[in-house]
Amino acid sequence: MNAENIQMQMRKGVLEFCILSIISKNESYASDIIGSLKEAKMLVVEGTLYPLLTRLKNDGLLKYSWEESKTGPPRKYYQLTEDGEAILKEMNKTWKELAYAVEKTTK
Amino acid sequence: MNKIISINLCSIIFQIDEIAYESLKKYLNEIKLNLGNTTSSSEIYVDVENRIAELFQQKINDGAQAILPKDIEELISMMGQPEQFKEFTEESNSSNQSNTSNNTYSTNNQFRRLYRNGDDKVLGGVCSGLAAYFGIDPILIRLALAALFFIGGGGFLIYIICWIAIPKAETAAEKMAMFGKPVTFDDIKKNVEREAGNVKQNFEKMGSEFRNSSNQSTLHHLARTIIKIIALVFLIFALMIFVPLAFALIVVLFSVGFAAPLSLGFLVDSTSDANLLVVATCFMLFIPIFAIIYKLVRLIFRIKSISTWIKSAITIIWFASIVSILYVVQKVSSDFKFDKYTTEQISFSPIKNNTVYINSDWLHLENKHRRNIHINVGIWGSHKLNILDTALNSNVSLEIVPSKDSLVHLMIEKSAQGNSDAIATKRANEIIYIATQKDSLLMLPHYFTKPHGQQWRNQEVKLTLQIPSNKQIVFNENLLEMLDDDSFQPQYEDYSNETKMNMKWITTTMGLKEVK
Repeated sequence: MNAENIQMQMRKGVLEFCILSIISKNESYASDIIGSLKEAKMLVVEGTLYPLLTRLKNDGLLKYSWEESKTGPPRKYYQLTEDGEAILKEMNKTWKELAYAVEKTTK
Repeated sequence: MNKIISINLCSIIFQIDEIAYESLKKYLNEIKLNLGNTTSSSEIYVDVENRIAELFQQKINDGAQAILPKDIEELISMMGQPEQFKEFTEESNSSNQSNTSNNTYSTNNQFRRLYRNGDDKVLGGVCSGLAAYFGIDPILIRLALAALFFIGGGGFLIYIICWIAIPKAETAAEKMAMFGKPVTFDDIKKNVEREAGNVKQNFEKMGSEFRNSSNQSTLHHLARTIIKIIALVFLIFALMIFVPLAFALIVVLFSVGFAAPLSLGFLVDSTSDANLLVVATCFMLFIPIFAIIYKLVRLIFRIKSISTWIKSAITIIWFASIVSILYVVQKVSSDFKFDKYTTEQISFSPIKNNTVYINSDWLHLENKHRRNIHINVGIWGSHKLNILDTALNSNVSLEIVPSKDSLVHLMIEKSAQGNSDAIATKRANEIIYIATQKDSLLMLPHYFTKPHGQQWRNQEVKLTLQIPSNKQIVFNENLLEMLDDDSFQPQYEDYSNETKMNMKWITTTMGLKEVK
C-alpha cells in the first residue's frame, strides 16, 4: 500500500458516488456525465467512465435506454434502478458521516 | 502526402488519413487488450467505439474532410491511455498499474513488422527488411544468405520465397512499422492473448456457451504458443529437406532434363504434350509445397497476406496443371484401346544340311546399322538420339512347330494398339522384322524396328517357325531367350538354357524333343 494506491481507492469510491448522483438528477448520456464530472474536476479521461458504467449496470444499480442522436450513433441514456436509488441514499448517508469524521479529525 | 482510407465505425463511414488509421487501429487494439476477456468487455468496447464515432461525426459536421492524425491525438488525450480504462474497475490492481498509465501513446510506439525495405535494396530488399526486423546490420543477413547459396543452394530459394511472401513497405506507416518497437517476449505474450481473445470471440459467436474462466484463456495461450513452436520446427525441417531437394530437381531439370521429355516422347503424341506434362507436373508438385512453407512463414512472422488475386491465380494454375496431366494421360491411354495384328509368311530356301542352326541376337549399339538421329524436343532444343528410338528390343517371341512339307517356313505376326482399328493396323503394318538365312544358319533377331518417332503402343512380333521333323536343330543362347517354354515337350521344362544350348532338337507335334 502506497499513497497513490490509497488515493485511487478514495477516488474510486467517490467517483461512483458522483456518477450515481449525477444520474439521479437527470437521465444522462455518457458525455453529459463526463461534462458534469469535468466541471467538478473529478475525471480526467472519458475512457475510465465506460467500464465503470457497465459495471454499475451489471451490479443492478443502473439501467439504460437507447435514444436516437442527430450527430452520430444512437446513445445509451442511463437512469437509476430502484436498487440504485436505495444504494445512493445509503451512500449519501455514509458520505455525510465520513465528511463529518474527516472534518473533525483533520482540524 | 498520404492515402485516405474509408472505415466503417458503428455503421457510419468515415474518411480517415492512413497514418491516423494506423494509430486508431493500434489504439483500439490496445483498449481491447486492456479490457481483457470478460463478458462485459465487449459491451464496453462497443460503447467506446460509439463514442469515437460520435466525436468523428462532430468533426465532420464542423467541416472536416477527413480524420487526421491530430484528431486521433486529440481523441486519445480525451479518452485516455488504454491502461487508464480499467483504472477504477480493476479488482486487484497492484501499484505498478499506475506507473504504466503514464506512458505516452503514439505511432512511434507501434510494434515492428516484417517488410521488404525498398529504400535499401540489392534485389528485392528482403535482407535489409529482415535486418530491420531483427535490428542488425543488413550486411550480416546478406553474407549469411550468400553463404547458404554456395553451401546448399538454399539461399536462393529462401530469398525467392521471402520475396514473394513478404510485402514491400510502401506507405509511410509501413516504413515506420518496419523500424518500430522491437518485439519483446512481453509483446509476443500480448499478441498471443489478443489472438486467444479472437478465438474466444469466435467461439462465442458460434453460440457455444463458453463461460469465461482464466483457466480457459491460459489454455488458449498455451495452445497458440505450442502451435507456433510446432510450426517453426516444421518450417525448419521443411526448409532443410525441401530446399536442397528442390535445388537438385531444378539442376536436374535444366542440365539433364532431356531424359524426361525423351522417354515421354516415347509415350505421348507430340513434344508439346511432353512439355505440357513436364511443366504441369512441376506446378502440381511445387505449388502445394510453396503454399505450406508460405503458411508456416506467415504463422511465425505475422506478415501481411498476399493479395487474393495472386492466390486465386496460383490456385487456378494448380488446377489447370492437374487438368493438363489428366488430359495427356487420357489421350495416351485412349491410344491403347484397339489391338490389331497382321501376318505374313516367308519360306526359306531348302536346307541341304541335316542340321539347322537357329541364332538370334539383341540389338547392339555397336551395330553397323546404328545411326544418329536428331529429334526436336521443344523447349529443350534438338537432341541426339540413337537407333533405340526406332528399334524395340525384346518384344519378340518365338514358337517352333513341325513343318507340313520339307521346307522351313516363318510366320510373322505383328501387332500394335491404337485409338482406332485403322491406326492399330497401320502401326502393325509399319513394323519391320527381318529374318535372314545363310545356308543352314537362320538368323532371327530379337528386335524389330518401327518408324522413327512413332510412339510405343505395345508393338509386338510373334514368330512361328515351321521346321521339318527330320532336321536336327541347334540353338544359340539368345534364341533360347525368346523361345516360348511350351515349344518344348513337358519333360524339358526344368532344363536351363545353358543345357538346352548344348543339345540337339527335333520337332514333334508334342513340341521340341531332344535327339540322343
